[in-house]
Amino acid sequence: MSKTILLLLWITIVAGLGTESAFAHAIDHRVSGGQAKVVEVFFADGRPFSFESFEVSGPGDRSPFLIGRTDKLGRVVFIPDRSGEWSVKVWSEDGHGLQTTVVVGDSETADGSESKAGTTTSPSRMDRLTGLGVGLVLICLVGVLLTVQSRRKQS
Amino acid sequence: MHIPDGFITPKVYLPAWGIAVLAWWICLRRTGSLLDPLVIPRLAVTTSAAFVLSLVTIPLPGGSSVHLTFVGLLTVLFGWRLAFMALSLVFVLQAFLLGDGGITTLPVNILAIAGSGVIVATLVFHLLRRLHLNLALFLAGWTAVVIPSFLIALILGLQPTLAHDASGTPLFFPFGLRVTLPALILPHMILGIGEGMLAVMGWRFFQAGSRRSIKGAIDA
Repeated sequence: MSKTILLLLWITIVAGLGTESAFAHAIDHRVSGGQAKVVEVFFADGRPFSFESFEVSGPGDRSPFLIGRTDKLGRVVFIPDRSGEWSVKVWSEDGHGLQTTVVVGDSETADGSESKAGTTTSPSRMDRLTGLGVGLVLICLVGVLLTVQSRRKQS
Repeated sequence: MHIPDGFITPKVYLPAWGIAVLAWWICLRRTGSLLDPLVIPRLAVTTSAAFVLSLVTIPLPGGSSVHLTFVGLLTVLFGWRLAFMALSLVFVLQAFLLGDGGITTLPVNILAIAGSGVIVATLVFHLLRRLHLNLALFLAGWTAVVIPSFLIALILGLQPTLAHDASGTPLFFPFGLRVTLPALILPHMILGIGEGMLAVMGWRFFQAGSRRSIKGAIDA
Protein backbone atom coordinates (compact mmCIF):
# COMPACT_ATOMS: atom_id res chain seq x y z
CA MET A 1 0.00 0.00 0.00
CA SER A 2 2.87 2.35 0.79
CA LYS A 3 4.08 1.88 -2.80
CA THR A 4 0.68 2.98 -4.07
CA ILE A 5 0.77 6.08 -1.89
CA LEU A 6 4.32 6.91 -2.94
CA LEU A 7 3.40 6.51 -6.60
CA LEU A 8 0.39 8.83 -6.28
CA LEU A 9 2.48 11.35 -4.34
CA TRP A 10 5.16 11.25 -7.05
CA ILE A 11 2.57 11.79 -9.81
CA THR A 12 1.17 14.72 -7.83
CA ILE A 13 4.55 16.38 -7.39
CA VAL A 14 5.59 15.86 -11.02
CA ALA A 15 2.25 17.11 -12.35
CA GLY A 16 2.25 20.10 -10.03
CA LEU A 17 5.82 21.27 -10.30
CA GLY A 18 7.00 19.92 -13.60
CA THR A 19 4.43 21.09 -16.11
CA GLU A 20 3.88 24.47 -17.63
CA SER A 21 0.15 24.04 -17.39
CA ALA A 22 0.20 24.04 -13.59
CA PHE A 23 -1.71 27.07 -12.24
CA ALA A 24 -2.85 27.82 -15.76
CA HIS A 25 -6.43 28.11 -14.61
CA ALA A 26 -5.78 31.10 -12.36
CA ILE A 27 -6.21 34.61 -13.74
CA ASP A 28 -3.31 37.02 -13.16
CA HIS A 29 -2.66 40.60 -14.09
CA ARG A 30 0.08 43.22 -14.43
CA VAL A 31 -0.38 46.98 -14.24
CA SER A 32 1.88 49.37 -16.09
CA GLY A 33 1.87 52.70 -17.87
CA GLY A 34 2.09 56.40 -17.03
CA GLN A 35 -0.97 58.57 -17.56
CA ALA A 36 -2.62 55.76 -19.44
CA LYS A 37 -2.96 52.71 -17.28
CA VAL A 38 -2.51 49.31 -18.87
CA VAL A 39 -3.84 46.28 -17.03
CA GLU A 40 -2.73 43.07 -18.70
CA VAL A 41 -4.95 40.15 -17.75
CA PHE A 42 -3.74 36.65 -18.43
CA PHE A 43 -3.94 33.07 -17.30
CA ALA A 44 -1.10 32.01 -15.03
CA ASP A 45 0.62 30.20 -17.89
CA GLY A 46 0.79 33.46 -19.81
CA ARG A 47 -2.15 33.00 -22.19
CA PRO A 48 -3.93 36.36 -22.56
CA PHE A 49 -7.46 36.76 -21.26
CA SER A 50 -8.52 37.99 -24.69
CA PHE A 51 -11.79 39.61 -25.79
CA GLU A 52 -13.45 39.37 -22.38
CA SER A 53 -15.70 42.00 -20.79
CA PHE A 54 -14.26 44.60 -18.43
CA GLU A 55 -15.52 47.49 -16.34
CA VAL A 56 -13.41 50.35 -14.91
CA SER A 57 -14.77 52.54 -12.12
CA GLY A 58 -13.15 55.63 -10.63
CA PRO A 59 -12.84 56.42 -6.93
CA GLY A 60 -16.36 56.78 -5.49
CA ASP A 61 -18.03 56.31 -8.87
CA ARG A 62 -21.46 54.72 -8.91
CA SER A 63 -21.47 54.18 -12.64
CA PRO A 64 -18.55 52.80 -14.67
CA PHE A 65 -15.91 55.13 -16.12
CA LEU A 66 -15.22 52.73 -18.96
CA ILE A 67 -16.64 49.45 -20.19
CA GLY A 68 -15.50 47.23 -23.03
CA ARG A 69 -13.65 44.10 -23.94
CA THR A 70 -9.99 43.26 -23.48
CA ASP A 71 -7.91 43.30 -26.63
CA LYS A 72 -6.20 40.33 -28.30
CA LEU A 73 -3.41 40.54 -25.73
CA GLY A 74 -5.84 40.64 -22.81
CA ARG A 75 -5.24 44.34 -22.07
CA VAL A 76 -7.48 46.95 -20.45
CA VAL A 77 -6.28 50.50 -21.19
CA PHE A 78 -7.73 53.60 -19.55
CA ILE A 79 -6.67 57.16 -18.80
CA PRO A 80 -7.72 58.15 -15.27
CA ASP A 81 -8.91 61.73 -14.79
CA ARG A 82 -8.23 61.86 -11.06
CA SER A 83 -6.15 60.23 -8.40
CA GLY A 84 -7.34 57.52 -6.04
CA GLU A 85 -8.19 53.84 -6.14
CA TRP A 86 -9.63 52.71 -9.46
CA SER A 87 -11.52 49.45 -9.65
CA VAL A 88 -10.99 47.15 -12.63
CA LYS A 89 -13.21 44.11 -13.10
CA VAL A 90 -12.66 41.62 -15.88
CA TRP A 91 -14.86 38.58 -16.41
CA SER A 92 -15.69 35.85 -18.86
CA GLU A 93 -19.13 34.35 -19.29
CA ASP A 94 -18.11 31.16 -17.49
CA GLY A 95 -17.17 33.01 -14.30
CA HIS A 96 -13.42 33.40 -14.74
CA GLY A 97 -11.87 36.76 -14.16
CA LEU A 98 -10.65 39.09 -11.47
CA GLN A 99 -11.32 42.30 -9.62
CA THR A 100 -8.32 44.48 -8.89
CA THR A 101 -7.51 48.00 -7.76
CA VAL A 102 -5.20 50.38 -9.58
CA VAL A 103 -3.87 53.13 -7.34
CA VAL A 104 -3.42 56.37 -9.29
CA GLY A 105 -1.20 59.06 -7.75
CA ASP A 106 -1.67 62.82 -8.19
CA SER A 107 1.12 62.98 -10.74
CA GLU A 108 -0.20 60.10 -12.81
CA THR A 109 -3.54 61.51 -13.95
CA ALA A 110 -4.22 62.95 -17.35
CA ASP A 111 -3.28 66.39 -15.99
CA GLY A 112 -0.06 65.15 -14.38
CA SER A 113 3.34 64.90 -15.97
CA GLU A 114 5.19 62.11 -14.22
CA SER A 115 5.25 58.57 -15.50
CA LYS A 116 5.34 55.44 -13.43
CA ALA A 117 5.56 52.04 -14.99
CA GLY A 118 5.97 48.37 -14.32
CA THR A 119 3.92 47.70 -11.20
CA THR A 120 3.17 44.03 -10.87
CA THR A 121 0.52 42.98 -8.38
CA SER A 122 -0.09 39.35 -9.20
CA PRO A 123 1.93 36.67 -7.42
CA SER A 124 4.87 35.40 -9.45
CA ARG A 125 5.32 31.77 -10.49
CA MET A 126 7.78 31.34 -7.63
CA ASP A 127 5.20 32.73 -5.18
CA ARG A 128 2.72 30.18 -6.50
CA LEU A 129 5.18 27.31 -6.24
CA THR A 130 5.92 28.38 -2.67
CA GLY A 131 2.18 28.45 -1.95
CA LEU A 132 1.84 25.02 -3.51
CA GLY A 133 4.64 23.64 -1.34
CA VAL A 134 3.22 25.22 1.82
CA GLY A 135 -0.20 23.79 0.98
CA LEU A 136 1.18 20.27 0.51
CA VAL A 137 3.12 20.51 3.79
CA LEU A 138 -0.04 21.68 5.60
CA ILE A 139 -2.09 18.78 4.20
CA CYS A 140 0.64 16.33 5.29
CA LEU A 141 0.73 17.94 8.75
CA VAL A 142 -3.03 17.51 9.10
CA GLY A 143 -2.58 13.87 8.06
CA VAL A 144 0.19 13.33 10.62
CA LEU A 145 -1.86 14.95 13.40
CA LEU A 146 -4.90 12.82 12.55
CA THR A 147 -2.76 9.67 12.48
CA VAL A 148 -1.26 10.43 15.91
CA GLN A 149 -4.72 11.17 17.30
CA SER A 150 -6.17 7.99 15.80
CA ARG A 151 -3.35 5.80 17.16
CA ARG A 152 -3.78 7.30 20.63
CA LYS A 153 -7.48 6.45 20.52
CA GLN A 154 -6.72 2.88 19.48
CA SER A 155 -4.15 2.41 22.22
CA MET B 1 -15.29 27.12 -11.54
CA HIS B 2 -14.05 28.94 -8.40
CA ILE B 3 -15.84 32.28 -8.07
CA PRO B 4 -13.38 35.14 -7.45
CA ASP B 5 -13.90 38.05 -5.05
CA GLY B 6 -16.12 40.86 -6.27
CA PHE B 7 -18.31 38.70 -8.50
CA ILE B 8 -21.24 38.09 -6.14
CA THR B 9 -23.27 40.16 -3.72
CA PRO B 10 -22.83 39.94 0.09
CA LYS B 11 -26.49 38.89 0.17
CA VAL B 12 -25.26 35.54 -1.11
CA TYR B 13 -21.84 35.04 0.46
CA LEU B 14 -22.62 36.23 3.98
CA PRO B 15 -25.38 33.62 4.63
CA ALA B 16 -23.14 31.08 2.91
CA TRP B 17 -20.53 31.53 5.66
CA GLY B 18 -23.14 30.50 8.25
CA ILE B 19 -24.25 27.47 6.25
CA ALA B 20 -20.63 26.42 5.65
CA VAL B 21 -19.82 26.59 9.38
CA LEU B 22 -22.90 24.44 10.08
CA ALA B 23 -21.85 21.95 7.40
CA TRP B 24 -18.32 21.69 8.85
CA TRP B 25 -19.76 21.11 12.32
CA ILE B 26 -22.06 18.35 11.05
CA CYS B 27 -19.17 16.65 9.24
CA LEU B 28 -16.66 17.01 12.09
CA ARG B 29 -19.01 15.38 14.59
CA ARG B 30 -18.49 11.95 13.01
CA THR B 31 -15.24 12.18 11.10
CA GLY B 32 -13.28 10.88 14.12
CA SER B 33 -14.96 7.50 13.93
CA LEU B 34 -14.31 7.25 10.17
CA LEU B 35 -10.57 7.82 10.48
CA ASP B 36 -8.09 5.11 11.25
CA PRO B 37 -4.31 4.98 10.70
CA LEU B 38 -4.76 3.09 7.43
CA VAL B 39 -7.27 5.47 5.86
CA ILE B 40 -5.53 8.72 6.84
CA PRO B 41 -2.40 8.39 4.61
CA ARG B 42 -4.56 7.63 1.58
CA LEU B 43 -6.88 10.50 2.40
CA ALA B 44 -3.90 12.84 2.81
CA VAL B 45 -2.32 11.79 -0.49
CA THR B 46 -5.61 11.97 -2.42
CA THR B 47 -6.28 15.40 -0.90
CA SER B 48 -2.77 16.50 -1.94
CA ALA B 49 -3.45 15.23 -5.45
CA ALA B 50 -6.73 17.15 -5.52
CA PHE B 51 -4.96 20.29 -4.30
CA VAL B 52 -2.27 20.14 -6.99
CA LEU B 53 -4.03 18.58 -9.97
CA SER B 54 -7.13 20.78 -9.72
CA LEU B 55 -4.83 23.71 -10.51
CA VAL B 56 -3.92 22.22 -13.87
CA THR B 57 -6.03 23.56 -16.70
CA ILE B 58 -7.67 21.43 -19.36
CA PRO B 59 -8.30 23.59 -22.43
CA LEU B 60 -11.52 23.00 -24.36
CA PRO B 61 -12.48 24.01 -27.92
CA GLY B 62 -13.84 27.55 -28.06
CA GLY B 63 -11.33 29.04 -25.62
CA SER B 64 -12.92 27.73 -22.46
CA SER B 65 -10.98 25.73 -19.93
CA VAL B 66 -11.82 23.50 -16.99
CA HIS B 67 -10.01 21.69 -14.23
CA LEU B 68 -10.50 18.48 -12.29
CA THR B 69 -12.16 18.72 -8.87
CA PHE B 70 -11.69 15.18 -7.45
CA VAL B 71 -15.12 15.53 -5.75
CA GLY B 72 -16.48 12.24 -7.08
CA LEU B 73 -13.29 10.27 -6.40
CA LEU B 74 -12.91 11.55 -2.82
CA THR B 75 -16.59 10.86 -2.11
CA VAL B 76 -16.66 7.27 -3.35
CA LEU B 77 -13.37 6.48 -1.64
CA PHE B 78 -13.85 8.11 1.73
CA GLY B 79 -17.54 8.98 2.13
CA TRP B 80 -19.21 12.38 1.99
CA ARG B 81 -18.10 13.66 5.39
CA LEU B 82 -14.39 13.09 4.91
CA ALA B 83 -14.61 14.19 1.28
CA PHE B 84 -16.31 17.45 2.22
CA MET B 85 -13.74 18.22 4.91
CA ALA B 86 -10.83 17.31 2.62
CA LEU B 87 -12.20 19.44 -0.22
CA SER B 88 -12.86 22.32 2.18
CA LEU B 89 -9.19 22.20 3.15
CA VAL B 90 -8.22 22.19 -0.54
CA PHE B 91 -10.40 25.23 -1.26
CA VAL B 92 -9.10 27.14 1.77
CA LEU B 93 -5.49 26.49 0.79
CA GLN B 94 -6.09 27.38 -2.85
CA ALA B 95 -7.81 30.64 -1.91
CA PHE B 96 -5.36 31.80 0.75
CA LEU B 97 -2.08 30.51 -0.68
CA LEU B 98 -2.66 30.71 -4.43
CA GLY B 99 -5.45 33.23 -4.92
CA ASP B 100 -7.52 30.63 -6.77
CA GLY B 101 -11.07 31.58 -5.85
CA GLY B 102 -12.01 34.48 -3.62
CA ILE B 103 -11.84 34.80 0.15
CA THR B 104 -15.31 36.33 0.52
CA THR B 105 -16.69 33.77 -1.90
CA LEU B 106 -14.91 30.85 -0.24
CA PRO B 107 -18.01 29.39 1.48
CA VAL B 108 -20.02 29.73 -1.74
CA ASN B 109 -17.35 27.81 -3.66
CA ILE B 110 -17.09 25.18 -0.92
CA LEU B 111 -20.85 24.66 -0.62
CA ALA B 112 -21.65 24.79 -4.33
CA ILE B 113 -18.74 22.70 -5.60
CA ALA B 114 -17.78 20.43 -2.69
CA GLY B 115 -21.07 20.37 -0.77
CA SER B 116 -23.43 19.69 -3.63
CA GLY B 117 -20.85 17.45 -5.31
CA VAL B 118 -20.40 15.08 -2.36
CA ILE B 119 -24.16 14.87 -1.78
CA VAL B 120 -25.02 14.06 -5.38
CA ALA B 121 -22.08 11.65 -5.76
CA THR B 122 -23.13 9.80 -2.61
CA LEU B 123 -26.75 9.53 -3.77
CA VAL B 124 -25.84 8.36 -7.27
CA PHE B 125 -23.26 5.89 -5.99
CA HIS B 126 -25.60 4.36 -3.39
CA LEU B 127 -28.50 4.16 -5.82
CA LEU B 128 -26.58 2.49 -8.64
CA ARG B 129 -23.74 0.52 -7.08
CA ARG B 130 -25.76 -2.68 -6.73
CA LEU B 131 -26.90 -2.36 -10.34
CA HIS B 132 -23.46 -1.84 -11.91
CA LEU B 133 -20.42 -0.77 -9.90
CA ASN B 134 -18.45 0.85 -12.72
CA LEU B 135 -21.51 2.74 -13.95
CA ALA B 136 -22.22 3.93 -10.41
CA LEU B 137 -18.64 5.14 -9.99
CA PHE B 138 -18.58 6.86 -13.38
CA LEU B 139 -21.92 8.62 -12.87
CA ALA B 140 -20.94 9.61 -9.33
CA GLY B 141 -17.88 11.33 -10.75
CA TRP B 142 -19.80 12.85 -13.66
CA THR B 143 -22.67 14.27 -11.63
CA ALA B 144 -20.26 15.49 -8.93
CA VAL B 145 -18.92 18.04 -11.39
CA VAL B 146 -22.00 18.76 -13.55
CA ILE B 147 -24.40 19.55 -10.68
CA PRO B 148 -21.93 21.95 -9.02
CA SER B 149 -21.39 23.68 -12.38
CA PHE B 150 -25.17 24.15 -12.60
CA LEU B 151 -25.22 25.68 -9.11
CA ILE B 152 -22.28 28.00 -9.84
CA ALA B 153 -24.00 29.08 -13.07
CA LEU B 154 -27.19 29.70 -11.09
CA ILE B 155 -25.39 31.77 -8.44
CA LEU B 156 -23.52 33.84 -11.05
CA GLY B 157 -26.50 34.20 -13.36
CA LEU B 158 -28.75 35.48 -10.58
CA GLN B 159 -26.38 38.31 -9.66
CA PRO B 160 -27.88 40.85 -12.10
CA THR B 161 -31.30 40.17 -10.53
CA LEU B 162 -30.08 40.17 -6.93
CA ALA B 163 -27.86 43.26 -7.07
CA HIS B 164 -28.34 46.15 -9.46
CA ASP B 165 -28.60 49.92 -9.28
CA ALA B 166 -31.66 52.07 -9.94
CA SER B 167 -31.08 51.95 -13.68
CA GLY B 168 -30.86 48.16 -13.64
CA THR B 169 -27.11 47.99 -14.20
CA PRO B 170 -25.66 44.92 -12.44
CA LEU B 171 -23.40 45.76 -9.50
CA PHE B 172 -21.55 42.46 -9.55
CA PHE B 173 -21.38 39.70 -12.18
CA PRO B 174 -23.10 41.11 -15.27
CA PHE B 175 -24.26 38.02 -17.20
CA GLY B 176 -27.68 36.43 -16.66
CA LEU B 177 -28.75 32.79 -16.56
CA ARG B 178 -29.13 32.52 -20.33
CA VAL B 179 -25.41 33.15 -20.64
CA THR B 180 -24.02 31.43 -17.54
CA LEU B 181 -25.93 28.15 -17.73
CA PRO B 182 -24.60 27.01 -21.12
CA ALA B 183 -21.20 28.64 -20.56
CA LEU B 184 -20.61 26.60 -17.42
CA ILE B 185 -22.62 23.42 -17.79
CA LEU B 186 -21.56 22.36 -21.30
CA PRO B 187 -17.77 22.40 -20.62
CA HIS B 188 -18.31 20.60 -17.32
CA MET B 189 -20.39 17.90 -18.99
CA ILE B 190 -17.26 17.16 -21.01
CA LEU B 191 -15.03 17.41 -17.94
CA GLY B 192 -17.44 15.08 -16.16
CA ILE B 193 -16.33 12.26 -18.44
CA GLY B 194 -12.80 12.67 -17.09
CA GLU B 195 -14.06 12.93 -13.51
CA GLY B 196 -16.13 9.79 -14.02
CA MET B 197 -13.15 7.88 -15.38
CA LEU B 198 -11.03 9.21 -12.51
CA ALA B 199 -13.57 7.86 -10.01
CA VAL B 200 -13.56 4.43 -11.67
CA MET B 201 -9.75 4.26 -11.96
CA GLY B 202 -9.18 5.72 -8.49
CA TRP B 203 -11.54 3.18 -6.98
CA ARG B 204 -9.79 0.29 -8.75
CA PHE B 205 -6.39 1.72 -7.87
CA PHE B 206 -7.10 1.90 -4.15
CA GLN B 207 -9.18 -1.26 -4.08
CA ALA B 208 -6.08 -3.16 -5.05
CA GLY B 209 -4.47 -2.05 -1.79
CA SER B 210 -7.29 -2.32 0.68
CA ARG B 211 -11.04 -2.45 1.02
CA ARG B 212 -11.17 -0.15 4.03
CA SER B 213 -11.98 2.99 2.03
CA ILE B 214 -14.80 1.13 0.30
CA LYS B 215 -16.23 0.27 3.69
CA GLY B 216 -15.92 3.93 4.68
CA ALA B 217 -17.81 5.13 1.61
CA ILE B 218 -20.63 2.67 2.14
CA ASP B 219 -20.98 3.17 5.88
CA ALA B 220 -20.60 6.96 5.99
